[in-house]
Amino acid sequence: MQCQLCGYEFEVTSLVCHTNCPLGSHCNLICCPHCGYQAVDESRSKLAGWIGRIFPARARPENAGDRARKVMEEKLVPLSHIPDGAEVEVGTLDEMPARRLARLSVFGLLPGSWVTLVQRTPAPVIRIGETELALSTEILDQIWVHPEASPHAP
Amino acid sequence: MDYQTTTAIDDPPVILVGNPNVGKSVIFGALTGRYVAVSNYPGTTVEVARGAFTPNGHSRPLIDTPGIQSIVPFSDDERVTRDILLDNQSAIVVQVIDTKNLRRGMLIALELAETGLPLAICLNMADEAEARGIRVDAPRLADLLGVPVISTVATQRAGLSGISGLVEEAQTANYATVFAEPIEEAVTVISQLLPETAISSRSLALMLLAGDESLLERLGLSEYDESLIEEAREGAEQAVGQPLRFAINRQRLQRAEAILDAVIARTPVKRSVAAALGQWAVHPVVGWPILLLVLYALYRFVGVFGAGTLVDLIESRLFGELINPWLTGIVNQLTPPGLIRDFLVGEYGLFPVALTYSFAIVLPIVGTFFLAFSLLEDSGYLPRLAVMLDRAFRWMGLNGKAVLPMILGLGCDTMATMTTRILETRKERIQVTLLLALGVPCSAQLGVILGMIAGLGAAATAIWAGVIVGTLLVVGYLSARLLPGERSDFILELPPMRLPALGNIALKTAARMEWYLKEVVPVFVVGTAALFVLDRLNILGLLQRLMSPLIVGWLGLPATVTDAFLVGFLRRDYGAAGLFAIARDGSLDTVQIVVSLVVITLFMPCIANLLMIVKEYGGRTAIAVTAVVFPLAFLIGGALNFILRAFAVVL
Repeated sequence: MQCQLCGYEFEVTSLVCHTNCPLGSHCNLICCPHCGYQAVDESRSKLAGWIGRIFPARARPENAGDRARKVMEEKLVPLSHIPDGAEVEVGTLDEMPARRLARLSVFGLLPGSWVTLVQRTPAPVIRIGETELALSTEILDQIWVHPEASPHAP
Repeated sequence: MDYQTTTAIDDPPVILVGNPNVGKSVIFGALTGRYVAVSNYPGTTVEVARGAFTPNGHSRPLIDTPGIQSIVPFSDDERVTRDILLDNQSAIVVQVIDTKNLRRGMLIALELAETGLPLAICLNMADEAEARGIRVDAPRLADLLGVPVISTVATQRAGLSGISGLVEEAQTANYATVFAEPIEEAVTVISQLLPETAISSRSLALMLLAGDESLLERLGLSEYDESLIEEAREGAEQAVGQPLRFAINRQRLQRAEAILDAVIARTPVKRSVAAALGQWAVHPVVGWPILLLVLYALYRFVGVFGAGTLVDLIESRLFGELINPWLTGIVNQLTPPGLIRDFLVGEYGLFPVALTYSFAIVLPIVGTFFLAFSLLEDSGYLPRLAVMLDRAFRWMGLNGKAVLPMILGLGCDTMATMTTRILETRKERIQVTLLLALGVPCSAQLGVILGMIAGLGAAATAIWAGVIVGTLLVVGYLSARLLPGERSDFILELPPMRLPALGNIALKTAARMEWYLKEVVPVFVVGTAALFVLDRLNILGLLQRLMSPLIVGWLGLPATVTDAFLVGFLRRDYGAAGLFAIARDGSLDTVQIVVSLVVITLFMPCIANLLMIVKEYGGRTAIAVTAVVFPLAFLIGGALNFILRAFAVVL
């Protein structure tokens, strides 16, 4: 792991405890061998695990590079970036987990189908054919579309 | 499941299948004459309805199934439909399709075509499609698929007589979808491993390829065969380069599009008023006043008219001045003074307490609530309410879909606990069950609470509401993070807004009231009897003394309130009604009323609700919920008492 204070990288398994440490075998702290900063080993401390779940850390997007490539090379944009009311063609849904993909596909949302973003707040609503679906913003962001307007738009 | 008529059980049944909200239940009701709840909210027809109908003099069993998006299930409901298809040998399938949503209907039709079951198609809601400028060429569709097709408008009973003929002519579809080479190869491999069932092995193989694990369990294959299937699946998925279920749906949809092009004609039309209203109801600005208006109307109708006017009329006039004196007179003439007379008409007597509460207080409130709820349900507003409140629920680790059970909880928590089934993950179901048990007052209780609090002014009302809503938000937030499991995706279909059919509303309200009365009256009677026994054996006094440190010291309430709380264990609204009586005597000051209302609201709703939790989620969950709810109710009540007293708040 990487020390949160000094950034030193080390293997937790190869750590040896200080001989004069007062904490016994129930110790669930990890000391950085470089600066001595103590991090909690959440796999060992149940209490810390609970508190960690109440105040979750924000996740960083892992696929930022892949998303940038879609914009630059495939000229796609997420549906969340399309103005309300425009009908656009779905390009790819490759970021979605298989289950989500399957659930949306039965409503007719597939690459090549035409979709309209009806509104984005309080919750996004999209229209596929005569079906209106309310979705979470997170899902909207994984629907990549061709930004050119529809041939049958007004 | 029992059949309502004398139909021979082994007669091959007719099974109604289709997307949610396409009118299956209305058609079922019209054919069998037996009513089933019909609603606009996707997924409310949880239970399977069976009946019989008589096409051409021969009676056949008819099964109504939960709505599906695909015969490869996503939820427990959809699994039920798949299982019905598997379990019934030589059944006839009648697929009901929402004409304007033909594309989605075709996805299921293509799946049903693969099963090899005799199929017939009913294009329902032809009027709504027409209004949107969509015309479907039914004879052409019948030609393409090789199965009979008719158009109907079930709510107006138009075309329903054609269904008998439809059943007679049903036949195996001659329209097959051909999939990509690797999928077809895997289908061939898997088909040979499968046992004989009611549906074709090609269809089963495709379901397995789509990743239907519950089906694999059901088939009971040897471990070796299962590993072969898994191997074929993985091989195909690798060759296709996409999740298989997605690839299969994609090819079916292309097939569906080809059919659609051939049978649909569109003419541009102006947007209807209903469509505009549907749009406004979820509008980021206009949606809020609409929501407030709906809630206010609900309050006026249920809270003011039902809990106020009607209860007044029935309780004090009908029961107080006519029925109760009359019953007391009869009982006094027939029985000698003593145990039996006290049991019937005494302080905790059956007539003045149990029957008066159930018929004079609960019935009018529940009745008006169910009527209002049915109207909201059939109009299509409920899913839109889910959209408006999605953000608040998201904060609680849920999503807008949880709105339905929570709102339903305002009618009856027990029924609402049952409908938590529509939520997708066990975590969400338990979360909502906990929130319902904790802080969603049911209509009977709400009526009494609103009646008590109305006289106290806005500040007291705000404190009570603030504490309850705050508790719900915090407990929701914490339970979302502490309970194991995951939250589901928020994907919710918004059905079109419709003008509810009054017949449906009346029938549905009546059915729900009947259900409620059957459940509520016995609990009231048992609760009253228990109280009577406790009172006779002087256990009430003992319990009062035992609980008095908690009630008097911690909550700062008079000892007599213990009664109401004890009864609250049996039934929360019953406890609230007891409080109402004490408060009316003037023995509680304002702070005491607010504190006791907070405690009684946060209490476990009633025995019936607890039993429902045991039934749905098992004893352990029920104990866990109880262990959270009761201490929390007293903890928050005590803290509120302490704060209000410490700051000498004058209400």
